[in-house]
Amino acid sequence: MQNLKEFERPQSLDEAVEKISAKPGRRLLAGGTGLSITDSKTTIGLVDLKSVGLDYIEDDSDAIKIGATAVMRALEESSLLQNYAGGLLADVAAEVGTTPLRNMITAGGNITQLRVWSDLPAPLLALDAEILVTDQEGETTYPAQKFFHRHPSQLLDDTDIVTEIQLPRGIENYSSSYTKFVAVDDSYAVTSVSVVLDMEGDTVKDVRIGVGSASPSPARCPEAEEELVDAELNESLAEKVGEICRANVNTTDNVWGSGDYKSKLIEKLVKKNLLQAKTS
Amino acid sequence: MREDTPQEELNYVGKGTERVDTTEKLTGKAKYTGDLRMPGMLHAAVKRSPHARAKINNIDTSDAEAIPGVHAVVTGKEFDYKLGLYLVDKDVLARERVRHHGEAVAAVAAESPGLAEQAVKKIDVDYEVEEPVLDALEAIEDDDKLVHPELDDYDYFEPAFSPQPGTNVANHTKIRKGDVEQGFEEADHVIEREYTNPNVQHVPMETHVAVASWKEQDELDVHTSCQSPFTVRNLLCVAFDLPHTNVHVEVPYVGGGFGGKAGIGVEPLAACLSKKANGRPVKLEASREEEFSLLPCRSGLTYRIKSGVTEDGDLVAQKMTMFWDSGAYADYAVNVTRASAYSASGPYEIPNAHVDAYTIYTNKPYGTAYRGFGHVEFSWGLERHMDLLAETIDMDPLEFRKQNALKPGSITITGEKIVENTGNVTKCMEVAAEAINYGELTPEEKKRQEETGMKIAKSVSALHKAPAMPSFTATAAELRMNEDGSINADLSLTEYGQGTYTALTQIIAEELGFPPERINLSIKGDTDKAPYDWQTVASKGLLMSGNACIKAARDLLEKAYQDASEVLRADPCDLDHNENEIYIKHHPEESVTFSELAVGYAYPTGEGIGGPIIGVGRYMAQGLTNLDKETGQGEPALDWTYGSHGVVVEVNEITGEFNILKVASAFDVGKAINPANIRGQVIGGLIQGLGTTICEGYAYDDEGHLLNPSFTDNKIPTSMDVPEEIEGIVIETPQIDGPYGARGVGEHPMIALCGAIGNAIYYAAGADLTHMPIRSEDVWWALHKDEDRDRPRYSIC
Amino acid sequence: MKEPVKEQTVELTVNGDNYEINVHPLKRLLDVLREDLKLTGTKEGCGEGECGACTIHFDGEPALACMIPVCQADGAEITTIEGLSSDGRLSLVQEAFHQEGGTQCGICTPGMIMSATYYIDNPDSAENMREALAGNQCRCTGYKRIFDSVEEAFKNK
Repeated sequence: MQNLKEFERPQSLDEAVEKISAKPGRRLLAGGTGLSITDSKTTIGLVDLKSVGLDYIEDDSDAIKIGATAVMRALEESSLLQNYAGGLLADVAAEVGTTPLRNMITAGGNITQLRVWSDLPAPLLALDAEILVTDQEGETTYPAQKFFHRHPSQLLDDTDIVTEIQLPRGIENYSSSYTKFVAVDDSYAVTSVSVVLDMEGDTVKDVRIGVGSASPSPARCPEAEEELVDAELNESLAEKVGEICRANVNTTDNVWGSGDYKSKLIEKLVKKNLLQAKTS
Repeated sequence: MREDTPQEELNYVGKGTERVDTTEKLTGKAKYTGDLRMPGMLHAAVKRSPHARAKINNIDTSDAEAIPGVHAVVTGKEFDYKLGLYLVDKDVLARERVRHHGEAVAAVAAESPGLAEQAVKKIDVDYEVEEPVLDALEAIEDDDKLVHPELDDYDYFEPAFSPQPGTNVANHTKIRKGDVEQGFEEADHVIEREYTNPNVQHVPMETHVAVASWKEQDELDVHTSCQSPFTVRNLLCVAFDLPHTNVHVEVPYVGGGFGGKAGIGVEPLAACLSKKANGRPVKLEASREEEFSLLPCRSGLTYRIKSGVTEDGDLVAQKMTMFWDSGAYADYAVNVTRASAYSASGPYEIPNAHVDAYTIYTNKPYGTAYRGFGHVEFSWGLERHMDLLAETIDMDPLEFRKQNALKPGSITITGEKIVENTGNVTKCMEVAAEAINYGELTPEEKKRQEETGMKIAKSVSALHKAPAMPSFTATAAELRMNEDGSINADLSLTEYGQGTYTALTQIIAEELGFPPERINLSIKGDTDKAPYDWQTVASKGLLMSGNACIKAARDLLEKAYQDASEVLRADPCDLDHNENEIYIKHHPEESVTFSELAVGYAYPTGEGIGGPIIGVGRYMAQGLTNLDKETGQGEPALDWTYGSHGVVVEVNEITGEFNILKVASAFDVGKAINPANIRGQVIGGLIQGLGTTICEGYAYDDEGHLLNPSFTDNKIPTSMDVPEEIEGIVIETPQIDGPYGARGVGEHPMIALCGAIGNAIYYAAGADLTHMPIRSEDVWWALHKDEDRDRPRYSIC
Repeated sequence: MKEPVKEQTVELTVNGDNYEINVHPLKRLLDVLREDLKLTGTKEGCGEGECGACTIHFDGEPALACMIPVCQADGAEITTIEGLSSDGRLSLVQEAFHQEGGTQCGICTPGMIMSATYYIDNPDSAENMREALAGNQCRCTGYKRIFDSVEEAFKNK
C-alpha cells in the first residue's frame, strides 16, 4: 500500500458509508488478516470498520443477525448460533484458523474475500442466509446463492459495505452436520461439506447441501436436494446423493488437492454428513 | 573417553540437569540477530528473479538510487566474489544469468525496511528468459543445457569430490564392494524400484538474518544467525580476500537451524551492501518467502535400488543409484551426495554393493545440509524396499531386517569393520517393536478398527548415520577459572536449541567435580574470543566438543594441581580435590581452595605464584580417511548412531486419510548425558520427520516457479499433528571414543520414519507408495493407480 | 522519499505502561512493539498470521501482532511476553516451561507462552490443550515437552 494517504475510523455506519464514498481509491478494513497479502498501488485510503458497531450477533423476530465485524470467536461462542440449526455456523467458525486468528477474522471479511480460509460461505448457502450490503443508495439484500454465485468482488463495488448476515427463521430446529476435510490438521480445507436437514421419521422434509473449497465459488447441490425431499433417507440413498453431488460440482485443482480427489471427497462427505445429520 | 564409568559413579552426567539457555528465552529478553539495533543501521531488501533460468541483459537501478534514504544499491556485475563450501560456484549476486526462481539479482540498503522494499520495486531488470532444466534425470543427460558451463573453472575440494565439467554433474561418488553382478546371479530374486523425494524447507522459526559492517581498513564485523561462525568467517575471508584477523563473526542466540544455517547465507550480501554504504551496519533479514526460495532447501532425490535376495532371506547384492537434484548450486549437496553414498545401504550388511551417487545441477532453488544429510531421503526408498524384498520371499520384514543388520564383525560398504562398541541396531529394532506390540493388534486396537472402519497396521524401520565431515575435523574448548572458583567456558559450537551446551556443561562439571551451576558456558559465539570449531553440524558436536571439554577440564585441573603442589609442598600425585579445594590425600586438613588459586596464589607474605588458571582441550576426529575415488573404500565414520522406529498407523481405505497412532523410536546413543533433553530432541526430530512424511515439500509449475513459498501453502506440523503416543527410547552401547561413551543423536530421529509410515500404510490399505510426502490424496491415488489417472497436478515434486 | 500518509497519534497501554506515539497508521503492531517500544521479545516467524510467534494479548485476548495495523490498536491494552514476569521472577507458565524444558531455540516461545498463559487462565477457551496451542508453530520440540510444561503449569495453578 505504498500510495496510502488517508486512514479513517468512522464511528457509525452512516459515517462509514460517507467516508468510503467520498473519494475513489478508498478501501474497507475489518479484521486486517487479509492486509498482509494485499499490495495495492491503487489504494489511497482505508476506512476502518472496527468502531462502527457491526460486531453484534442478535436475535430478531425475523432472523438471527450477525454483524459483519463479529469475529469467529464470537460466532463460535454465541449461544444463539450454537442453538441454531444444530449449531452449524458455530461449529464451522470454531474450525476457522486458530485461536488468535479467530479473534481477528471477521464474518464479513471471511465471506467477502473468499480466500483459502473462507469456510463460512458454504454453510451460509446451506442455511439460505441473506447478506446485507449498504452503500450511499441504501441497503440491498442478497440471498447467499446470489452473493456467492461468483466471487463477491464481482458483485460488489468498492463503496459497498457488507454489513450483516441474516439467518432465516423457521429452520432453527433443523439438524446439521459439517466436515472440513484437511490435508494436515488445523490447516485449510481441501473440501468442506455442510448438510442442513429436517426429517419427519425417516423421511426428509427439507435438506440443503453446501460444498466449500472444492470449486472457485462455494456450491449448493439442488439436484441432490430434490432427490432427497420426501424420500426415505438411508445409506443407499445417501450414497446415491453423494454421487449426484459429485457429478454436479465442478471441482478444480489447487495446492491442497486435485479436482479428482475433491470430487471423491464430496461423494463420501455428503453421504457421511447426511447420515450424521439424520442421527444428530 | 571414560566410556566405562558406571552411572553410580557419576554425579552430573546421565542426570536431568535443567537447560542452560532458557531463562532469557522465556522472558523475551534473549537477543537474536533480528533483535539487534546498531547506530546508523540500514535495512536491506533483495531483488529476486521471477524466472528459473534467464540471461540478465541489463539492470537499471537509477530510480532506486534516486530515492532519498537509499544508501546502497548493488548488482552482481560490481562484484567478483565467489562462494562455495566444497565447490566454489556461487556469486554473491547473480551475474549475467539467473539459475533459479528467487535468486538474488540486486539488493538495496535503506533507512527503513519499507523504504528498501520500495526501492527494490523500482529496480528494473531486463531478462532474456530461457527454458529451464528442472528434472535431474533429464539434466544429467542434457549436456547442451548446462546450468554451469563454467564448471571446469571452479575450485573444489579435490580429495572428496569429482565434478564432471561439460555436464550438469557437480559430483559423482562411487562405492564398490565385492562383485555386484555376481551377487545378482547368486540371488533367488532380483527386485528393482525407484523412490522419489521433493525439495523440502528446513523452516527454522527464525529466518536467516545478518548485520554486517564493512568498516575502514577492511575490518568486517558480522552478527549473524548461523550454525558455524568459523565457517562463515573463513568463507567471507576467502570470497573477499581478507585476512582472518580482519573478519569478526559474532553469533547471538540462534532461532533454529536444522542444517539450513550450517554454511553461509545472507552474510556476504549484507557485507557488500555495507561496503557500498560507507561502512554503515546493514541488516539483511530474510522474509519467510525468501527463506523458501532465496535461501537453500533440501535437495530432491531419485533413488534407484536393485536388490538381490535369497529365499533364506540374505541380501546378497545391491546396486544403488542416487540422483541428487541439487538445484542451481552445489553448496552442501555434493557432500550430501558423498555421505549418502557411503551410507546408502542403511544399517544392513551387503556383501556385494555398488553405489553411484550424482549431484545434479538444475534450475531450482539450491540444496544444502538438512537434518539427516541425505539419509531421510534415501531411507524412504530403502526402508520401503526392504519390506518389498521381505514380502517377495514371504518373510516377516522385521526378521528380514534383523537377519541382515550390521553386527560385530560385519563389513560396511566402504570396508569398515563393525565392532561391539559401534552400537546395536538389532536391539534398537527389538525395543521399538516391543513398544508397539509389533506383529499383533491389541484388543483396544481391534476395537478401534471396528469403531472407525479404518484399518490399523504396524511397521518397524531401522537407520544409521555417521557425521558427514572432513576426515580431519577438529575442535577446541577453553575453560577459565574465575576468582570465586567458578568457570567460564568457551567453545564455538552454536546452541540453537538442540541442548548440546547443557550436556557439555554436565560433562565439564563431571570432569572437574564442580556443580553445573558453577560452570558458565558462553552461549554466544565470537570468532575473536572463542576457540575454533569447524561447524555445528552432523550430530558430531557432543562427541567432539565433549572430548575437548574433558581434555580442557583435565588441563585446568593439572594447572591447579601444579600450583597447589607448590603451596602444599606435595607431589601432585598425592593431591585430590573436592568442589572447593585441593587437599593432600593423607592429610586432608592441609588444603588450598580453588578460589585462592584461581587467578594466582598469594602467600601471606604477599609473594605470588601461579597465575590465572586456564584449561585448554582440543580434539581431532580419530582414524578417518579419504575414500578411494574409484571404490569408495576407506573410513568415513567418526561414529555410527543406530536407531529404529516402530509405528502404528490407521488408514481409511476410501479417502486415503490416515492417522499415526503411535511412534516409538529407539536410538543407541552410547550414553545419555541428559536423558530429558535427549527426549526433547528426539521427539522434536520425530515431528520434523512427520512433517517430511505427511505434508512438506516444494511444488513447481512447468516453468520452475515455486508455487508454495509460504506457511499458507507449505504447512509444518502443529500441536494438532502430534501422535497421541510418542516415545523416545535410549539404548546405551558405549562409544569408546565418545565422552562418557556418548554419541550424537541430533539428526537421527528424522531418518527412516517416512519409510516406516509408508510401510504401515501399505499393510493397512495396500497403497504402494514410492513418493514422499504422503498426503491423504497420495494414498488415495496409490489405491487407484490402475484407473489411468494422472498424478495430481500440484503434487509436491 | 516522501512518506505519503500522515502519521497519526496512537495511544497504547503495553504491559501496564501508557504510550502515545506518532506513527504510520498501517505500521504493524508487531513493528511498533519491536522498533518503537524496543520490546523485541515478540517475534516474527512468517508475517502472514500462520506461525503464531507474534502472539500477544490484545484487550485480554490472544491476537497476532503481525496482522494488526497499529491504528486498530488505538486505545488497546496489550500484554507482551515482557509483561509476564515481574520483580525478576518467572510467571507460573514461564517457570513450568523452564522446569519441563518447554523451550529449545526459543523463537516460538514468547508466542507459545502467551497462548499457554491465556489457556491456563481461560481453560474453557479451547476444547483441549492441543487446540489452544495450535496457532503456535514450533520446529524444535515436537510439542511434547511444551504439553508437559502446560500440564505442569496447570498443576501449580
